[in-house]
Amino acid sequence: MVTVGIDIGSLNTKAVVLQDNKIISWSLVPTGESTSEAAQAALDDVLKKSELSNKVNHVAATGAGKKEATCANSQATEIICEAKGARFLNPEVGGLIDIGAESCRVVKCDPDGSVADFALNDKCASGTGIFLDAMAKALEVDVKDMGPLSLQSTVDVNITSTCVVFAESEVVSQIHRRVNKVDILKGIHKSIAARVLGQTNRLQLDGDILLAGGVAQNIGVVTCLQEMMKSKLIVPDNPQLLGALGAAIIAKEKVEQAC
Amino acid sequence: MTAIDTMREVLNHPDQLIEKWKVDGKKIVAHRCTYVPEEMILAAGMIPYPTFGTPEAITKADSYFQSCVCEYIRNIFDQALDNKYSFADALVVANTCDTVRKLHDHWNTYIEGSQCYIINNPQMLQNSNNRDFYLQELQRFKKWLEDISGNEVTNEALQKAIHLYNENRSLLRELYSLRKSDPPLISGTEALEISMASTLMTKEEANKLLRQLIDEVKARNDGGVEGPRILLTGGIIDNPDLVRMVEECGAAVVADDLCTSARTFWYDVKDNGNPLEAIYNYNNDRVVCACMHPFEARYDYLYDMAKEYQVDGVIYFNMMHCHPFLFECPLYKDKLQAADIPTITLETGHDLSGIGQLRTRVQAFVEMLG
Amino acid sequence: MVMTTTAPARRGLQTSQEVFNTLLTFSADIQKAKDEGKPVIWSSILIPPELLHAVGAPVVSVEVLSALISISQLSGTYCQITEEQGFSRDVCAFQRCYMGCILADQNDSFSQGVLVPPDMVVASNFCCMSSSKSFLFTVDRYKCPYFFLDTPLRAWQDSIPREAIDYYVIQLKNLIHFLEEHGYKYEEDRLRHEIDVARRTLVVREEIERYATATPAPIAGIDGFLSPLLVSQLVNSDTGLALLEQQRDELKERVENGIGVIDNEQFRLFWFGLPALYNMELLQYPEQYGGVIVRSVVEWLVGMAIPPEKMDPDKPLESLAVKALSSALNPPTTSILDFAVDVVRDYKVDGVVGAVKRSCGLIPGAVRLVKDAVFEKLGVPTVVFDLDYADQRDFDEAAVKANLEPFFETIMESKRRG
Repeated sequence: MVTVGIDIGSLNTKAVVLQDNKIISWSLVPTGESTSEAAQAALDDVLKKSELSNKVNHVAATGAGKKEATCANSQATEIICEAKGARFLNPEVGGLIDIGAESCRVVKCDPDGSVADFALNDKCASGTGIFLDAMAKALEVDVKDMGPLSLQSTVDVNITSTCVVFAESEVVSQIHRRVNKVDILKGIHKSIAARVLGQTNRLQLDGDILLAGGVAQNIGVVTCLQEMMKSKLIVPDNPQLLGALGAAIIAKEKVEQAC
Repeated sequence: MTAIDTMREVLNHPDQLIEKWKVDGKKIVAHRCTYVPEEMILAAGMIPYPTFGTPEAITKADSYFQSCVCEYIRNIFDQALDNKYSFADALVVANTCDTVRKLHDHWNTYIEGSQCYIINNPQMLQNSNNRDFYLQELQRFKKWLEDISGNEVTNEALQKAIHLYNENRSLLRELYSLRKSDPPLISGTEALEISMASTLMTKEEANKLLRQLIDEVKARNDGGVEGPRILLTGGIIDNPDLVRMVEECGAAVVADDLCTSARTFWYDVKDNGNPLEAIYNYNNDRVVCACMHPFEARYDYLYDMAKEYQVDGVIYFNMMHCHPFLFECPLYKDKLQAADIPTITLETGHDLSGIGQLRTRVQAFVEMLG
Repeated sequence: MVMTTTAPARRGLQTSQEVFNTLLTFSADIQKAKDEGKPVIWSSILIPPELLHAVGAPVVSVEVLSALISISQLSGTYCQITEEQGFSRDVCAFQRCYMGCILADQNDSFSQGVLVPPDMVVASNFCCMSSSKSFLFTVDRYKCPYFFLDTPLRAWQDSIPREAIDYYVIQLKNLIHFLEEHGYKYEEDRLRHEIDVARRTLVVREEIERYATATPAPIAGIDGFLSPLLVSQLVNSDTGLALLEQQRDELKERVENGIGVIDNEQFRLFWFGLPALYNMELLQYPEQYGGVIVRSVVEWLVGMAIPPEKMDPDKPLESLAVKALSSALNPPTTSILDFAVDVVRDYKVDGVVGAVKRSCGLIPGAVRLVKDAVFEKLGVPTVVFDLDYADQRDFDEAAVKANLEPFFETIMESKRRG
């Protein structure tokens, strides 16, 4: 059986092809202005890579733009998808944290793999990808370099403001005081990790925690978060694909249920 | 070491005091609010210890309180979750605002090995209808203190404590009067540091240092900042850096009306032979804080203080999400402005978020006052 | 407000429409009373309406005024006006709504049409700090006399102590004196009548509660919030009682015939908080998924979650004291926790919706305690998200649904698995 999951995020659209519990191919395209076009583009791309175009049984969409994905056969909720995806990658996992561009979701999984509880971030952008983007701009650093650079930090710097606007002015004043960039970066990562931790603690997660979303690719944030948490953090390859993977699993379940 | 240096040392490292009390086998009762009679805690043979916020980022408490809840309360609860108050046998608060009541509920549910007591004081003060009720609630508090301390709270011990605290209040008032001169002999930053340090220490120790300090300050040729004279009002402002920021902008903070400062020592407890009644009279008669009623007296009090200290302007310092003060400051601001006392309101948290922006506003205000 | 129904299959209660109409026209009734020479009182919830009704006073409850503003889609306009006067956006939107309406200029037709200025204000420290402070603005603006009723905190482990009741009763006597000074005549018999009506109201409320717990739910969503209790507490006790009896009969018939608000009921919710008044349709959103909001918090808001026998016509003032001091809105939170757990158990609730109004001093500080208590005692989950009940500018539909949708799916999933 071949199924496809598409996750239409606010920044990127991701797609995964699943065949008999194996990930065959994946794709990531910028969402841009048209969510339906992005979904179609991601689907076309991922199917081309998989060379299974004519064997697809079901396509399921998730993410902020799921309702506009006209190319999908069904839609699934992000939280449910991610729980499925996390359990697929690691059956023992106790929960997951997904830090995307504009959202931060924490999901607690039941031992049977279903969702026990979850918490979404409020309107505030702190603790999400845009926060990192804003800070990268202020520091004139490429977002991709933030993580590795921050690991070189030797001096403790605290960014205490959790509001993006205030944190930005704090960062600027640190630059003016000639504080080392790598130390400021570490401070930023600590601040974002603290926000995520606050949200995570609402759920009292047990066991290992899977880290997903684009921000999970930032080794600086992951390191800070791990230092603050008792649970072991697991970062899968391509952590930003978790939602799409979960959607593909749900698509598979849909086909099985129909049989 | 000068007296002020000693007091700064205490303020920066209160843990040394705590360690010593612990070695001496003392019980420590954390408290917040000027409506908590510290004298009663002392009379029960325990150490009253004020709670202060920290500039560290709030992480743990955000799992319990939404970020829109009073920053001070989240800050204290965050410290408690982080075991920073594990030295305290209990926390005592007063019936003032919604979030303090919530702190009480959360403390008793989630902080193990410590309990929170809320003194059920009436919120309508300056009248005699509340007398029996308030006295009964003070009795209830006394009983609770006796239970957790294992000591009887005698009238003699209470009177002794009242006397000691009055002495402390009178010394702090004397020190504050040295701000009346132009320029003031001590800065507003120093004044807040001293007042806060004094609440941390035993009153015997604090009084000794205050006497020394008053002599030191009187001998000064210079002292505080020269510049427009400012009255600072607000709630639990427990970060001297905020006052420092104002003074760095060229203003002299010469008077204040804060929970961490003048509000703790502006009046004496008048001992009339019945100490609980004296404490009742003290809390009932003095000018109320923003959480209490009636509110009319508060404006006159601020106005009189502004006149007595010949201030050029008032800064209304609000802690983030502190609703009692947020509701009254626009009203008072209008009234003070109408009385030709320029007023600005500023809002910040313990992390000093947006301090750059605040500084710009204070600079403009100071320039305006000339 | 247009009460559109997005789900055509929905069977709303007839009584709800009448409650809504009564609340809508209350301003006109107050204006009429004022024209007849009666001084208008501005008051707030938890200030005993029985006493004010007993002297025949037209009472404007500021919360109802603000609710009308929000329902009329004017909260953004009026909140903005209040904020321009220096009031922080952090303070309660219910207060900002009515304060902005006071501040609105002469050309503002809504303000001119609905607002009946006070001749006096009766304020209190509960239900919350915001109402305890915002009345200062009204008093300052209209230069009118005010009376402050101090309600002791419900902080005792055991029963309410004598001195607390006495303290409240002394104040009620002073309030009566205050009302007499300002043109009202007090007759104890009329208060006795009001207390008796309140008692009978509570009896009917208990009957309603028994029917309301039935499956399928005979009353749900908006019908729960448009309770005749609002009328009885805020407008007129006799009218409220009559409407409540009507509602009880409607429910009785439904339960006897097994009729629910929707067909094919899948799961049941308890909405901890108020609805978004500017978007009441949101209360019907769960119904698309087969979910029903089986219980509202109106009883708590108007302080009517007490046993009927507490209202004793022979001790009218003491009864009012006990009612105020027992109210679930009078902290500490532990009293709300007990109610929340009872509701979830009795109404066979599958999930609790914790809609948190950011500018509130009560709900955001209580929701974690409720969530933990309900989960610990009954294993029922709670979803928590931001929702301002009054300020329409703070509404983020996508964010609200991003929380509700997976919550509903999770509930259904766990029900499927049993």
